[in-house]
Amino acid sequence: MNATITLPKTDFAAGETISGVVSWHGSQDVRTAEVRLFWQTQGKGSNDVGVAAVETLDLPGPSGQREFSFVAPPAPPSFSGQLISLVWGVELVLDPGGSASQNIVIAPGGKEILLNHPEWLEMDDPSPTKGLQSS
Amino acid sequence: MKARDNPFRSECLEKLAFREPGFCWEDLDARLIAAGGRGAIVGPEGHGKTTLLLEWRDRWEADGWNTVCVRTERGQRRLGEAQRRGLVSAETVFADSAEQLDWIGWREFLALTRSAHRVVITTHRPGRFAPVHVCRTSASLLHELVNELHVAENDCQSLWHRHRGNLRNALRELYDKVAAKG
Repeated sequence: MNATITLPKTDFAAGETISGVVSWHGSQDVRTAEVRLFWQTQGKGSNDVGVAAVETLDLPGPSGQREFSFVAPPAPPSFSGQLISLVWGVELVLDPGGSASQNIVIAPGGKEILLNHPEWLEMDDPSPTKGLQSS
Repeated sequence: MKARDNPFRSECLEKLAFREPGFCWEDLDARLIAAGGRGAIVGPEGHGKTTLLLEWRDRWEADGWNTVCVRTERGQRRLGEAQRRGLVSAETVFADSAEQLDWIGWREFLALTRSAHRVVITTHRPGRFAPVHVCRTSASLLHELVNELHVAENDCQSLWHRHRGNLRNALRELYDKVAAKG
């Protein structure tokens, strides 16, 4: 089964519309097909995964092409450090037939947050107690 | 280096297939049958027991068997309710880290899997079921895995010795090494 995901762009800010086209063709009759917006962690430890939204495609058949759209959620944002990255993705899951996926970024300004960026490392103490003192 | 670009991230390590010089699936199946359908994969931590168990499970599943895989976490002495329910009608059972179960937990596991066609466990020490495979590692095996991840590493011999054959820990050290290089 040949499955593809086409996205006109891959960097999004929260609230933006993520739209694209999925297509597949093969010899097997696909019984169920879903497009999923998901995130997963990648890095040194075990992976966490979350599915933010699912679009079920009606009557998929052995081949087809459909449009999809999601709204980019506010959290969690895409980020990367040395130990862990949080990666968003769009996935097409066909049963039977396998899957295809495409990584995207969902973060402020459509830019992945880099934890070791000098801007973060040089940030002043944010004074977490400020404004929380009891009277 | 970003974690998602690190060649030693867990996602890549999980894709490494089990291997050992001279290993043969048909021999493994034959030993399990000879042991009455109950067998143990034995070996210290980081020697590939879970990798072998899961690949064996996948082979049985591909052959159409109804398989159930249970994992007992560190310090888990008894099976959880969902695990017990899952075992009742299983044809083949794969249990990871069975040595964690205490005597009562183990007796319960045996009772629940009594009608299963095949039961395979992993354990650090022999004793609960007859060993059908003892996992062993080597510096050359570590070197082969590292090569498969497209990383040039000349220190595999000392790395393997330093971690006493624990490949998981050796590969984690390489993760840190690559991450620190940036």
